[in-house]
Amino acid sequence: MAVAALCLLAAGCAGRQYGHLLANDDKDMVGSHAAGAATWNPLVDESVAKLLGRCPTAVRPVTFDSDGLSQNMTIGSAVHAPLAVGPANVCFIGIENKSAEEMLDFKDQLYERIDSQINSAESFRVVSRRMVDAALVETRLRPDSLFLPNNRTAFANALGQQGTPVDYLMYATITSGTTDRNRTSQRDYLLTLEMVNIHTGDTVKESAKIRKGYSKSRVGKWWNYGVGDQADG
Amino acid sequence: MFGRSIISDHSRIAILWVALGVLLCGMSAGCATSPKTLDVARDAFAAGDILAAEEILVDLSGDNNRISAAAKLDLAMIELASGKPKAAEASLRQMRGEIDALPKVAPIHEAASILTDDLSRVYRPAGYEEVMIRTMLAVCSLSSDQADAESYALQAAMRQSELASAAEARGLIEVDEMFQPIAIAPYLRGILREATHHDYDDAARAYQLVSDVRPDFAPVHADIARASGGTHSSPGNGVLYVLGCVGRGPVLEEGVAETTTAALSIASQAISAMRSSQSNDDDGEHATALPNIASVKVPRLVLPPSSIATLATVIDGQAAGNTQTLTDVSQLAANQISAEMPWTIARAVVRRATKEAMVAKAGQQLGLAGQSASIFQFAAGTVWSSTEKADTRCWGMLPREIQTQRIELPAGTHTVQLVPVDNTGRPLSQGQTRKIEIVDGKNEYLVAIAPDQLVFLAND
Repeated sequence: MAVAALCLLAAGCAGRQYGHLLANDDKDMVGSHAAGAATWNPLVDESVAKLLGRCPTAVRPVTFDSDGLSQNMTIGSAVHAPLAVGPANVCFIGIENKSAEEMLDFKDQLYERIDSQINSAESFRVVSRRMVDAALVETRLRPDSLFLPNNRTAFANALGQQGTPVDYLMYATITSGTTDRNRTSQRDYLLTLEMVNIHTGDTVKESAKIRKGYSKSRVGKWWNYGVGDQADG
Repeated sequence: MFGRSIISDHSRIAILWVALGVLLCGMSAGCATSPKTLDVARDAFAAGDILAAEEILVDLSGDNNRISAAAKLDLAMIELASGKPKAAEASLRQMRGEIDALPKVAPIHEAASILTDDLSRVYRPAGYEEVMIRTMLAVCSLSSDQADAESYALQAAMRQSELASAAEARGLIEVDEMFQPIAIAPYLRGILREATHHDYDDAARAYQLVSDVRPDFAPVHADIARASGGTHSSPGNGVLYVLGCVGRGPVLEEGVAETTTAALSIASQAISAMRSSQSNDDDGEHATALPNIASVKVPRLVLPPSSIATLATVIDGQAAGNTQTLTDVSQLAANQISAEMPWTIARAVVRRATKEAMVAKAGQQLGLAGQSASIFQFAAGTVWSSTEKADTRCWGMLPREIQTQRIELPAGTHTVQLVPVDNTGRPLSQGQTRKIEIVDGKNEYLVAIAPDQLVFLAND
């Protein structure tokens, strides 16, 4: 009995933990305090699919001269000394997190997921991240400054000198919008992918959104969105 | 028929408990020299005698006793100071795993703690120490191959959030102040993300958090500006980060605290829970009551003296400023002790109440009544309670402060000297000199352990 009383006063800790493997068709877990796998994974899948669906099929000859960047790298144009024929090269610069949440270990995983999905499309080939990092170090340009034409050219030249010509620069941005209502809140997560044609400056932009509700109690979901239907005030 | 003996089963049990309690207290008093041995190791380390400190700590950590965990944590700091960051990382990783695997409550140890004191409980590091384990793991990794540094920094940030949530759930007051983030954890994350050259947004967030926690850490304003609109370094330059574990960290000693209203309220709730449990299998005649206790033994924070104030940096013979305080470990410890104090006192009150009830029951079953019963209760209760000791186990070799300095340098080889200075700027010794290689666009880390007048470099 006294043990029980002292146990009441004991600070808690994690205790034993067990792990298990998930099957491919198991549901992703929904985060209770922040976006998790059930939010990010569908956002990436949808936004990448939309983007690839809108981008032109860009199989074109590729070359580069002694200065590094090819003088004949416009999509679909002829070249005088082709070294290879293949898909357009996409340089995925990175993900900018402008949301209200820290992404912690998810950010790098989302990068790899987007990178892999773009790479799996027949018409695109993604430049190695190590090449991208090396070019960023060499030019000391910030990813968000690559929208400026001069910076874009300098960056593409740096990649070209490494033997990696580039056709598109791709950026991903994560934003969020939060609506609070007493002990419940709704947060909308938006993942935007933006692809800039480095030769023409044309931009293709696609996004995907997932809305998520957070409640202090389990009935909050039903009260606001279920039988209670109180979400609209 | 068997239940009609002169002393009933109940009374036998009560007397046995009292006897066992006094016996355990005697054993507990016999072990009282162990914390002093830890203190000897800590003093030897501060004086620069790493070998002596290591020898003592290896001995203490080898036995599976109640201070072995604290000794293992201290031993990891010795390994780091000896220039063996990989060994320190392995030790801390093992301790992190063991601590995470501890059960929420250990009933056998809790039962023993009723008969003796909090020293019988399983040693569980304070919340800030758990965060510091992960932070020091990141520091160890930065001193060697840097492979897992970012993961450890992330784990430190996550653990902090978990502790704050747990504290809020327990109803601790002023959770935001008592469990505010430890600035070194987001700072390490910030410098690592900035070094990627593409995750400046993460770096800016991390630096902003550092600024919120420690607005008096002046360099963070330049860090925020750089992460928000600048770049890691100028072309052709790299960055040297000096991470200094400066001064002797806080240790716990036994002190006395008055029983506060908050503590008595918590104890009262716990005893009420006991009563409701007792009423199911007892007539409530000997129900535990809240005793009239003025003060109890509790751990008290003490900062061992150390004359070092900061580390002055000399690069290629030129003075290059000094490290600045990013995390004040002594303040973290003070906050934690203060937040936990009502629970610490409440445990002591419940323990005292339980002992008094058991002594009273034993006296009654022995047939004592009136004045003789009072004398028996007073004598047995006083002897039993007087041997209680406060739980002073802690990670005593943590530094008093963690200090940092960021120095942008041209790529190439540089000679770096770290000199310990006191708060008047007077050098305390020659310090340590090390040649370092700065790589264009990269970070280089120099980790120094400076408990007092001597400096040890952790880099292998």
